[in-house]
Amino acid sequence: MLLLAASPELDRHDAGAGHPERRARLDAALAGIDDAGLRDAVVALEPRRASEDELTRVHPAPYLEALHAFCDAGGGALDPDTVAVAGSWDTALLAAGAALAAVDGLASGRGDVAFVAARPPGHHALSDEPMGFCLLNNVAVAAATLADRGERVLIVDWDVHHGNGTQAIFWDDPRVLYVSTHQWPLYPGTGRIGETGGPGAPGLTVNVPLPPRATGDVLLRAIDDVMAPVVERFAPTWVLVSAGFDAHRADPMAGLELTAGDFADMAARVQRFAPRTGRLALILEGGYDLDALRLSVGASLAAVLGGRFRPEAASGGGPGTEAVDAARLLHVAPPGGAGVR
Amino acid sequence: MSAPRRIVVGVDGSQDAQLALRWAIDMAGATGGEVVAVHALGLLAHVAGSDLESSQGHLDQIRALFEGDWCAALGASSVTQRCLLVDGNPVTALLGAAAELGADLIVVGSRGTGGFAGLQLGSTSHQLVQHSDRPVVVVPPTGRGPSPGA
Repeated sequence: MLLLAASPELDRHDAGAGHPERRARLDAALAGIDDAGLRDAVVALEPRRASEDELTRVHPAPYLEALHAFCDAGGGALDPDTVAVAGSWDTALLAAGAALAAVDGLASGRGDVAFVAARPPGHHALSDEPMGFCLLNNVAVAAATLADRGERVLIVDWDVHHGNGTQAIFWDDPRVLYVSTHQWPLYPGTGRIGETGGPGAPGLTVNVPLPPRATGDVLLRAIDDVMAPVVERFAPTWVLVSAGFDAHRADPMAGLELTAGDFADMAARVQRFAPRTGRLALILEGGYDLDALRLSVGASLAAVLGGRFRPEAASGGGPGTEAVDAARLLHVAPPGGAGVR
Repeated sequence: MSAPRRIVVGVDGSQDAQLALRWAIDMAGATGGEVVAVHALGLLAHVAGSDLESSQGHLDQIRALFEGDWCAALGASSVTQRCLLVDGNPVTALLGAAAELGADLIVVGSRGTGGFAGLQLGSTSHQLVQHSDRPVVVVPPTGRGPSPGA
């Protein structure tokens, strides 16, 4: 069964006309579930708002108060990319709450896999700063909650942009392994291969920065050759995916060449990192071409639920294998060498 | 503090940024220093228009604006100069560029294209002052900062 945390009818976050991070993205993601023929497998989770206690695991209270006040005052531009309006605070609480509902639903055995279709996205949000369309870091709030319960959490971030906020939040936290594939150079400018974690969590940040035009086969190599050995060493008890779909070749925001078939393959690979059924949640991040988002969400969820929806073939032949090899050399101890420990 | 030899200044096309740039030029002129104008390329720099077309042309347009109109005062001056486009939000772009270049000073306007008057949230200048490990000059809307000649 697919646990679905989505409440688009309650969404009152509006970044403005023409802004790519828009409510129609949720409709597209949900349409992908229908396209994949998964509607009968869906268990809809009750919308809930993240509480202050839950949020302060990641975001300090003064930041939450300032963001709340900013929205209550009518909002405005937080940076050249990021906008909040009066309804953004409640919508952000619902998005973080959706991630929490997803992991709680899985923890109570209600489903095999969870998907969170909520916005605004979260992985750029720092603990005390909104940026990159993000206000609250949804995946981080869920991961921190699990970690406080004694879980070991793997976050796989396959959004085309580096999740600088998530990386920073767990930089020195040995309970969370953060692994990211992303285009580089690109916004937000972080995610270099040498960023590997703080002194309290050495090697628990893994970045595989990829050049423009990288294809799905390169991403799969990154998962198989870099992530898999590190994940095996870490032995996660939970897997959360910062599931951005803007690495799709049709997406306007970046220049990777992935297809819906690639996202299906990546999802299937990442599913193997979970220790058992009911420990995998995909949380929507970016993805701004609505058709690509619909197809990619459908294909990814079909792949982890045993469906057959694969509307686009996998891609291959693009650049980036050198970057994967470099990351492997750094993070996976080669014979006679030493990886990051 | 010794005379700043390398000054990083944030440029985003706003009037406040123009004032900051002029102040940085004056300071560099007085000290014989270099001005490095930095513009942060955000997420929206990669799409053009309401149809959300991916656009290298849009990026090229931003580069042309940045190096042309926005930095016109710099180009017209005789100080040593560079213009850098950096991926990121304005705060991280300016801090990162200053660190990488070993800048002695960061200069910004009091309010650029982001931020909300009256609240510190989203204020580039406020966050820079909080997080920078080197001096930061915030040039007020009047354009009057500490005298470069002092």
